[in-house]
Amino acid sequence: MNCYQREHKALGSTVLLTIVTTENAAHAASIFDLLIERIAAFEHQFSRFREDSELTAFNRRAGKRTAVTPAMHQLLTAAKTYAERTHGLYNPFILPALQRAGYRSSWPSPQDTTTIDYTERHVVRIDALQIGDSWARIPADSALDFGGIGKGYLLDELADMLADKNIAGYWLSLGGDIVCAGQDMDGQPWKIGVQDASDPGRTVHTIVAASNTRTAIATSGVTKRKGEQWGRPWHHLIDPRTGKPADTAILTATVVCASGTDADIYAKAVAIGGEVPAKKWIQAGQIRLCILQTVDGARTIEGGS
Amino acid sequence: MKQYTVTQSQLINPDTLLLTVRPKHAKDQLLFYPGQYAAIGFKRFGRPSPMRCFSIVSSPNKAQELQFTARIQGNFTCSLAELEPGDDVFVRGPFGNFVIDEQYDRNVILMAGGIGITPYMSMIRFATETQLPIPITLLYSYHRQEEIPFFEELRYHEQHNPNFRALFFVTKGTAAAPKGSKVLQGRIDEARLRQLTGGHFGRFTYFLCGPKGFVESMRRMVTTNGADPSRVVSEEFTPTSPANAIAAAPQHTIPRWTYALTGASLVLAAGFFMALDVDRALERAALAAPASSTTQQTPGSSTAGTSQTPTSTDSTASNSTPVPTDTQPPMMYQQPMTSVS
Repeated sequence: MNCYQREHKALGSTVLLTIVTTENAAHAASIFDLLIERIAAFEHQFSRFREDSELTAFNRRAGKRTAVTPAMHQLLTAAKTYAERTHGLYNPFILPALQRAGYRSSWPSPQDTTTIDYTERHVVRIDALQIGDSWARIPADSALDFGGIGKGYLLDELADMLADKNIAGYWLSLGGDIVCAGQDMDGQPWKIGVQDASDPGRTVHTIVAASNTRTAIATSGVTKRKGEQWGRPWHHLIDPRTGKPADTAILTATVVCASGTDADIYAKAVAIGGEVPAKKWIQAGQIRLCILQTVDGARTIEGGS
Repeated sequence: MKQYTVTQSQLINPDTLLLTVRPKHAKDQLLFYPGQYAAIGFKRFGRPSPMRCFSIVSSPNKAQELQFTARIQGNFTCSLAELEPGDDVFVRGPFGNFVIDEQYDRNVILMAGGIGITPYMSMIRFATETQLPIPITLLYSYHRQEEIPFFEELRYHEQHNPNFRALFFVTKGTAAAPKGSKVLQGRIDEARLRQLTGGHFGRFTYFLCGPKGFVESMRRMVTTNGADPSRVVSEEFTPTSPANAIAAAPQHTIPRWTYALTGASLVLAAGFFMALDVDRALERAALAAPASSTTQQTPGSSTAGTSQTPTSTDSTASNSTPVPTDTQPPMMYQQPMTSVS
């Protein structure tokens, strides 16, 4: 059994792809190429930092009924579904607030990307997103962003692509959001560390993934993508209810779910909403496990706790 | 290639674009017969797009503007839908023989399925404007009544052209006919056609336009009932329709000798580098021969052996040791760790 790994820079972060297979390196390379090609296509289509992305074109036509590709249609539909499911704790319309708070360029390579200014627009409720058969419309003074869902959604697509590739196990990481399945080189379940919010070199918890099913893990919080604007600190976690950086005691929230999209969304929703909604989603089976880190330390919430 | 400017871009139903363009100069005006189509292209980020064909919807009497209708369902039409007033488009054409011959076609039935209405709109507009003395009946099949493109306009033509009438067939949803129009539930069928023609199928010229299945079934229906096959004219909206017959057109005309010289230089350059490679490979083989007297080393084998092959398939490799990677040199294995994304 061989373990292959490739590191790549995309989506403003580090992409780590790892597979375990009996096949040779050429086979692994062809799989990695396929995955990276898909990541590039996704970024090209949905990045808000690109002038030529479908998302930017869509935002430019805000207020008008706009034809969308099937892929965009699916992502819009998913975004709307999750916004409703989280009662607005996830909202794809927070982009103007995010930019007003200071997060304007792609991170960590601001020089590589374009800043398209949406600060004059407003955060609106998810009801304002109209989706038709092959078109969609957002209010004229709003702008969409898939930053809160894109990585998880893409992770699911990538994992689906590995289904028939003769792979014994894999873990894929898009900037810290992880999806994994199968076993490691020693035939053991994957063990995923949870980074310490206060000391990035340490882990506070190790999640043992079930090997017979897909496991997705995502972390959200206020410890990264932060800065200072006009003398005031900001971070990228915007509370859609206030349109401002979330006022939360939680440094990071890590969730374990059945899909990458679930994990991406619920990590943010828990980081903003806190323990109460987290318990509700755990009881409903949408989150398998949740680890909250505050200044007082880490706490794990599981079903029944 | 004629140069036009977008004057209006609108969706006339959720997935149907109506694009209106105006010639940049008087010499760019397109002369066409109602029912013909033209190829459109545009520039995207400075580069010319492929050209695709679309039926012309406007009447040739209004040469100062051209209208095209397109169903938005692919990259090209999505990009087309993004064009805004003031954007440039290029038009080639006209093409096609899907036109009414006033001398030959004395009684016309137009049968449209879905977006197949587009070439007929030009014919119908032209017929109203000129009060064409030819009876024209449109049988238009669409999924839902509320999404029928040009529904109101077709009713207008019924009221202003005594020789024109339209029957709408809706296959989904409810049919509700506004006063003065005929909207029927279901598909265009033989019984309805027999009623319209009085059973004299051979007295009419039939124009069929729409998806392949629609065109084929309508053709079968009319020809098996006595229509003259030479009077059944069709245009299919499929990937193999004339829309794809015209490839991307170059924006500039380049003399043939330029292509010839470019081709010759490519051949010469390729030959030169091949010769250089062979020369270097032979030199390397000659140097390697004394060191491996018992095995024959072929040129290039040393590099082929290491590329993209695991340097160590060490079964004892734990997660903290270097693992084979598909890139050289091998990188240190990184443990999965979730962090704020």
